[in-house]
Amino acid sequence: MTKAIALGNNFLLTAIASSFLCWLASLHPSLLLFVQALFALKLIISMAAWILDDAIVAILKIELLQLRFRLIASSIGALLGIGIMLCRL
Amino acid sequence: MSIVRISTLTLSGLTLWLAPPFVFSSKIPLHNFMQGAALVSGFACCFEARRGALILAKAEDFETMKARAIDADVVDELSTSIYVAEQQRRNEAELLIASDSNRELLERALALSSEEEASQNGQLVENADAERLEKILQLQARGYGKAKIILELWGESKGGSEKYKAAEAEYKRLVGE
Repeated sequence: MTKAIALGNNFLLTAIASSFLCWLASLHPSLLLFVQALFALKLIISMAAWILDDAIVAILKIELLQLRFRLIASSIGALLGIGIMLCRL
Repeated sequence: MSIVRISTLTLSGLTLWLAPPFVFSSKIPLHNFMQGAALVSGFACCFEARRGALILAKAEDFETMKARAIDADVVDELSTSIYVAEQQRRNEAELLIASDSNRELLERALALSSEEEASQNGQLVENADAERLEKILQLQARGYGKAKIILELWGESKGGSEKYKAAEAEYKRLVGE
């Protein structure tokens, strides 16, 4: 139960962080560029993690399924956070 | 940190993340600032809830391990006591078997000695009969009659008494009449 809550909070943290970045991007055009760069970096890291999953599993000493779950959850969280901020008033 | 507090923090974080973008307008500067503040607060709430949940999970794991260790200790103690009791019972049974065999040996020895005694008694009786028969034969050789031999050997004079009759029967048995 508590582990599930911790995982849920991980997901919420990712979503809130991406929402906060979107909010920052809305403040100034230069911040928009910065946030875009951050999201691009996140995308590159996620894709590299998908490609180099075996090596990352060996380094982090976690299961492959766990790594994939984390990657998918972080991607969905980031997209959800962006979506929420795009749909705001 | 209790589960209720963790749940409250999680719900607060969720509310602070989802509500402000749809409640406050992004075109009003104060509203926009409030959105940012709510997002930061929501992030902090979720962070704290995650930290508490991890601590609680660790504590639960520790408690589970402790309970398992106690169970294992109890099982170990029980199995040890069962083993000790079984060994004691086995030793007692072995002692009992040993004493039984001793008793058996004693019984056998007793039975053997009884048989020997009986045979000895029988032999003594036979010897006495033989001696008495020899005396009868000697007296007969001297010319003694039945009544005189009975009087000589058994001390019973002729008559209708029970003792004389028994002596006469004994005489007849020995002589083979």
